[in-house]
Amino acid sequence: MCDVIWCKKEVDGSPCETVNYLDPFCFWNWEGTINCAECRTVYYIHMIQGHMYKGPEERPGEEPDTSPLYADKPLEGYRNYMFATEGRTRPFECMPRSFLLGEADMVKFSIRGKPVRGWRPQPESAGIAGSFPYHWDIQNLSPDVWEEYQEKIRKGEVSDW
Amino acid sequence: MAQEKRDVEINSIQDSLDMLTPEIRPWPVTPPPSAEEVSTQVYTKRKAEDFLGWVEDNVKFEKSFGKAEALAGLKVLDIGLWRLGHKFAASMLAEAGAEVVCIEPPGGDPLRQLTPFGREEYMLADQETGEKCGIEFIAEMVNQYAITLDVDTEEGQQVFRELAANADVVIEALPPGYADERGIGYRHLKDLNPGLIYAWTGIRGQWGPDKDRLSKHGQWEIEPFACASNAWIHSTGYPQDQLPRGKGGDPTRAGVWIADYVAGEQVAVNIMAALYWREEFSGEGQFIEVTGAEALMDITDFDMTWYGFNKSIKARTGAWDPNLNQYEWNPCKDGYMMIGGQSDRLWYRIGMCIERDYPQFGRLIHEDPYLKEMGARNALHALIKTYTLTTRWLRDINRVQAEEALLEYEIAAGPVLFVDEVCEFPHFKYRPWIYNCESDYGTFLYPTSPNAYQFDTPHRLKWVGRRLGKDNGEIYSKWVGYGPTRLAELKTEGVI
Repeated sequence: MCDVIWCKKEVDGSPCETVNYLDPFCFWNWEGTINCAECRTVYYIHMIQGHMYKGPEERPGEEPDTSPLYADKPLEGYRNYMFATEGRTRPFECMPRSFLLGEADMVKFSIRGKPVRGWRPQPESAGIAGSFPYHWDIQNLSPDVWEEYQEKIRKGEVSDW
Repeated sequence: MAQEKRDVEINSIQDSLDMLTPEIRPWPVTPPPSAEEVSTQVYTKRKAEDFLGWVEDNVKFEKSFGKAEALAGLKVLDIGLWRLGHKFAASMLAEAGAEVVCIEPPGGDPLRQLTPFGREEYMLADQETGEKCGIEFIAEMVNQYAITLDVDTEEGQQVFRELAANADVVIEALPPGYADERGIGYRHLKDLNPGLIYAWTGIRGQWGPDKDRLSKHGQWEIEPFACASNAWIHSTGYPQDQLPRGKGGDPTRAGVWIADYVAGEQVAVNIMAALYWREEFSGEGQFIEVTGAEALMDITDFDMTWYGFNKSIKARTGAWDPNLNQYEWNPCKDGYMMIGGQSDRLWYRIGMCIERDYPQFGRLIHEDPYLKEMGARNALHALIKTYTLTTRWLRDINRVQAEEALLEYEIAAGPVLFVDEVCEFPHFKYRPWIYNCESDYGTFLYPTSPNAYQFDTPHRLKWVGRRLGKDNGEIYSKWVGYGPTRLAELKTEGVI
């Protein structure tokens, strides 16, 4: 294995089979521990020039230094763990000033009052906005935003300007 | 064309100093392909010998020197300190044939002293006087005459007014208001020469509330402030999510004074338009102001529009493009490899190529239902997954191998080249985009003007870099009729 850790840890009698992706710019030269996004097994890896020089070796009981940004399960219909899934994958805020200003304020409506995709069209657990760009089903996927949108329409706050 | 290669053993810096001259380190190391090779191996393959033969016959570099110059007879004065923007603009006009005179103070533009890490051995010595000059200054003084004049003295200001009365264009990059304060700004010159086109270029502008923010010239007249003040630096580099802050995920400046270059180019465009206006309609010149900060802001893509739309702050994305997949450069065995794709045709071809060596690529990428649709591939998780696995392939091969493998599948792919590789790139040597030119400071390897490939009036590089005040005699005599006695007087008074 190299740029992925294909986790084979036995969990409840069957292998975990999660592919943890180690993105090239972070891990090209890297040493430390990293967790599997699914079973949270901690592995030690030492990568040099993109090659796995040592590991992955299990390090039970240790806290991971980092997490993969993304992981999926090709044997289970590509079920996946998006980035910034707490306790499983690494945060990817994409918010350049968040470390100075705290949590980013997700924008839900444009200045014309129309829903925009700065918010999360999926439940929070699905990750950051735009992850599934073709599912624009606000009513089902984000009923709270849908409600707010209907309210805005009622109040006449939505315009075509 | 190629010279003999020799082995050199380098044990200390002393062993390498001699290699800084082109006589010792020849270029090109390998000869470019011949016209016959290119025609038979490349043009014939595309059945394009006719068209490309016709283009080459008309625009090839070596044919340009016998042709006319579009701006022949246009007289340009260029004055400024420390900056590249005005020099770049003036050089562009000079390459098109204008007679451009660069004015420096009698002590020379401080830019002459700029050299990498302050190391004198990287400066070049004038072949007659032995005076050292930094390579940056020499490279930006294309086809310009060099004269000296101290515009801080009253006499110098009078001489400047006389010169400007004979000029079509003045390009100025002195601190804001500096020229006007000395009675040599546009307001004063236009009375002497109503046809004068006067372009000021700087970092943030001569007017406005921030015009006096302090720096060594009395305002923020330093190029990085232009990049910093329009999010250029913020948008360049890696996000701290991808590489931790302080370990690569930091805002990054461009490797060159890009705001100056972009502003310089815009100055040249402004001057061309003003010339057309003067010649065709008004008969009069005008005042122009171009700032580096705003020129660069003009090419920051959709960042501001996006912010205006919903307050989004576009993040840095490093080597990856948030709009396309694949469309990135990623590490490989001996450097970095750029691969371009996005459409289905290219997407699956990239996969077919990589699968030959790494069969799992197809299993994890092509069979993933979330990556079947073109647009869906642009989601961040898709970028992470795609580039992780592409790099898994790239880590075992070098750039040449990757390029050969990808080109077999007709995929847009190219290595990230180092500058020595650029200079030896057969394509650039053949055109030749890069070539040797002679200067007061010896032989100089230089990229030709990108405007050099015109049928009738190609721009061309005639010389780079002149020693300080080299053209005082010729220019003062030709432009304002000063004889040797007058020049000697001015010299004694320290005016030139």
